[in-house]
Amino acid sequence: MKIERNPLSRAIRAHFALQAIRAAVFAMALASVPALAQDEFSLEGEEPAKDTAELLEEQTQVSSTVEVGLGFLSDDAFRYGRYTGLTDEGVFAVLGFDIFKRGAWDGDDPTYWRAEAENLGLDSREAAFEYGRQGRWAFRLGFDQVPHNHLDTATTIFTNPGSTSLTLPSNWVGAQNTAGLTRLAESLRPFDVEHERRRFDVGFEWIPAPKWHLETAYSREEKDGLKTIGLTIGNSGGNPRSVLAPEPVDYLTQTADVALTFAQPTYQLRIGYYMSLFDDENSFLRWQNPYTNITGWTSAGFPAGQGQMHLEPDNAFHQFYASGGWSISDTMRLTGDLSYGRATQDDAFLPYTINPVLAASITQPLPRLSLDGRVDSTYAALRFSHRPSSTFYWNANLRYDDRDNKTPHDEYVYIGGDSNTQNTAANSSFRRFNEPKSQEETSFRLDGTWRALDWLRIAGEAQWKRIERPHQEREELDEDRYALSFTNNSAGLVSGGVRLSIADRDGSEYRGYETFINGYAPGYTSTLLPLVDGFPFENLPGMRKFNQADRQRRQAEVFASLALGETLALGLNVNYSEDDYDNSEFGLTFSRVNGYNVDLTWAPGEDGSVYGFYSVERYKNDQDGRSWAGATRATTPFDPNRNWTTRSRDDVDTWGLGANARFLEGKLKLGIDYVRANTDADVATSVGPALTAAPLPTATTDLTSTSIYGDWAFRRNLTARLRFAYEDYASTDWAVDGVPANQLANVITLGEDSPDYNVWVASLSFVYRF
Amino acid sequence: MQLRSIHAWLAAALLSLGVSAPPSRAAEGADNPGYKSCVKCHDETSEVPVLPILKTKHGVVADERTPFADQACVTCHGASQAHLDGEGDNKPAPDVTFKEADAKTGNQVCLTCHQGGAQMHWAGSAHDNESVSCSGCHDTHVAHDAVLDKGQQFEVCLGCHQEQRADLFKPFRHPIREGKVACSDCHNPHGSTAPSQLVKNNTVETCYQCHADKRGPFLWEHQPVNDDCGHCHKPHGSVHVAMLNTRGPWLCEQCHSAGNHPSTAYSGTGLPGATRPSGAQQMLGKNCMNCHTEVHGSNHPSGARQTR
Repeated sequence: MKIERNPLSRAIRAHFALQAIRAAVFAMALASVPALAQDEFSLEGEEPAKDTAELLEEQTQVSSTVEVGLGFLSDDAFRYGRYTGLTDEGVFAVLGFDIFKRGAWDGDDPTYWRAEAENLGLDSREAAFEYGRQGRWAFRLGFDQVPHNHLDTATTIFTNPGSTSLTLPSNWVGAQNTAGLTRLAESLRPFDVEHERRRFDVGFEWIPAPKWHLETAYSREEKDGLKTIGLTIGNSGGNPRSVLAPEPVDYLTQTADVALTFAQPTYQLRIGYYMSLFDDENSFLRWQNPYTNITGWTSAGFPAGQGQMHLEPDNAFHQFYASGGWSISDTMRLTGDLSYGRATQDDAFLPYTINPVLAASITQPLPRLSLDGRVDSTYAALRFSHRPSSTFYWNANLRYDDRDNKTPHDEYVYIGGDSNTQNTAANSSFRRFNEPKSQEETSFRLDGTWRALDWLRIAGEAQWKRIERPHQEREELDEDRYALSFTNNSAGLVSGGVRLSIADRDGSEYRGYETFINGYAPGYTSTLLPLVDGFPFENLPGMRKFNQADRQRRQAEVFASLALGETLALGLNVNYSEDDYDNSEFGLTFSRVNGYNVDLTWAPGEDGSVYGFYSVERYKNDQDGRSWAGATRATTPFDPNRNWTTRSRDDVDTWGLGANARFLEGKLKLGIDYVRANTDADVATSVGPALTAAPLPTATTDLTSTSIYGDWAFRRNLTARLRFAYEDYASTDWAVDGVPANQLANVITLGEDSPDYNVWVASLSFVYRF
Repeated sequence: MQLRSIHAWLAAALLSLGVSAPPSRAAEGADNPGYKSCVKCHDETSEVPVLPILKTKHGVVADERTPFADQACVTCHGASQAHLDGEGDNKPAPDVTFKEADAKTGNQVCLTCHQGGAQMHWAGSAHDNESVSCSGCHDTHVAHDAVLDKGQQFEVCLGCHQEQRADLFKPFRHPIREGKVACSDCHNPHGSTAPSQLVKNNTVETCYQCHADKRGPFLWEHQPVNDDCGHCHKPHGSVHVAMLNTRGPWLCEQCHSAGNHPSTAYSGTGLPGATRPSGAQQMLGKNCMNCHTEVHGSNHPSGARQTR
């Protein structure tokens, strides 16, 4: 694990992200002005004039740093610090170090050690230690903590968030819907939706000889906290009652990777083994049903009724892999990948129902006690690269990716949401077959690049891809893609280009009924009339799932980088992508993304620069549907008056300005960054004459972030570091705003609000270098 | 005794593979001719400092794999006799300059040593085809190469991939700005045989690195999950919760149009009304996931409809 050398708190820097933007813009903008670019980005040479001995020492000997300071956050800001842990109003410690020790560069001993730590005063702390003999071996340890805050305004009726057996208040009064839940409001208690990852790494590498390299890595990541989950009693599509609730998260993921590489100039080979073991400490989540019995339920209601979910099952993945490369000649190279993996999952099944009354009705037991799930994955890829001349090169790529699902296929007679007795009738819709899904993808790509002129490069690409998905709506899917680009990549003051591509996808007959008739008992599907093309249907016959539908994809991109004089640089990027699902009557029919990006940097000298950027993104999704009812399936699925169309539009506008400068011969560095990011998400549905529709509000987010930073090297080895940031965030979402826990009749929601905050943070720290 | 046996066995095994123990090399260090001639001009007072390379791994003479254990500067920049002989502002550049304009020459020097491991598939990769130079991303002459720093790497990538910049500020995103996720956690910039230069064989395997809980296999699978996480999620950032491509219930209705509520036309008619309770339970709160919560797959025997 690599941590930045300068232990400036990344948590604080997250708001000062425009420093990053500034650097990126600057790097890009000046890419074509190399004379300026080099020393602007040097981390060295920023100190005032020194004697040559000092300079030589600074430039040739590694150094260490320690940063100590204090910061202050102006208000509680749960979302502001969602990934940094900078969430609680008050003082926090700024603490980090980077201690690096090794011999002189030209010494005989390559032994070194390095200890780094960052954000030690926050919940986003991380640390790493490495000890080794360069070129021989190295031993590494690492720790990384990552918080993730979602919501601090959620509420629940359950008394024990975090438990796997959620209980209602002792004085709870049940009812058939939320209107009658008279104790609901007084029972609500807040809980924070947040989880945290803590990862420990250990690694060892050994280089027994210059051509050999053994790398081993093991990581153990714990993830715990709370997320939210919808808990439903009743059968979906019939009589469900639901409550949104806290779901405990207590995961352990272990990974290991061992790889041995042999590399010499002509050929290289790497073989390895990768392992991932996932363990969920919680296998189930039970809850008391807050609702009383309703029509269709059997002994499922409050107070005795309860439900039980299966949480994420443990799984294991083992994979052997190999990669190789062979430089056949100076102009030809062959590389390839080969891997074989196996994913397994065999958690003990929960019973069909936790309700003992319903369990007593079971006459057809589970076909097995656990899934014995297994997916074998095989991957092979080959690439041949040829550069017959300095102006032309081409590549051929072959790729095979197979997921072979060997999970047993069985019949399950399920019980709908812990609410029904088991229905084992031959025509029962509760007789279901699991459908292990396999997939095989094969593709071949040819691409070539021709440097037609010193300043002009023309590239073309053709790709043919086939995806086979047995027993799914479309068993074969074929896509052809062609791309062409013209690029001026000379080192002059103007560079840029155009990229164009088209891709057409079609395939075998689309059989929308396939997974439906495979997943239900014939005794049930045979009762469903009318038939379309001889088969019953679940989804509308004209529906095409977009990942299997015919599609015409068109993409274009124009980009340019201009150096306007020696101090001004301009970057432009315009991109467009559209997917036309031209044979989809229902489902996603069209999507489009287009973006415009402009960067401008003015660097009048080596002691300062000013930048600005503006980015516009527009997302468009069109989809069509037809509202129909199962009870009138003979007519409504075919009634065009029940058609509807939804147009989704997401607009993202992001812009920023910033400046930085150095004073006092580099002793003082100051900078300011400002960014605005606004998003609007609109959904508009229009309907046929048999339906009604109304407009929806726009869901919005509005982020304003300002940061000011300064470093003052008031002594040779001591720098004072000042950071200040202000962030204002407001958001609206009609799905949660003004939707209290008892708003919906049959769902108790979290009653949360969209995040809205403004906060400032400041810190002063001192960095000592030695 | 036992350890000695292991060592003996290991030595024999390595010898049988043609591997010999690393020889100890007399370090020439500052007396290396390939260094001395260069620092006559490129010394510690140089306007463009080059000596900080000695603080990097490349500068460690005691590691015989490094350029400074060989001919120092000359190992990478070539003998550059014309450059040495030249005078004034118009003197010829060194033989190898690692400039973007001649990426192939510079890259070939780097590949001399860095062609195994993660760089195996450089030839023919997207960046190779675009004539991106190693030095376009890496700065070998400074102690701290930003692109190797998880907290700063995205700054380098954004230099070309402008269209990803706005993603950093979207309301739902990975913690890239915070340095907890780096571009290279998912993409191999040196090339891979997977789509989009992913570090694993495909999208789902790449996502499972951090989201192993979604791997299954589950009893009741949700087909798109095993196909491509990108069918529903935008990994670079989104305006919708959980980085979804579009919000529910419409996202779900792009594939589901069964009778009754899966095919309903959802609109402002589903908003809360003047009285309570009111509103569409498939549209408010967590929309479809108010009930169908196990969208990544269910392992409950009664979870055929992803409600368990």
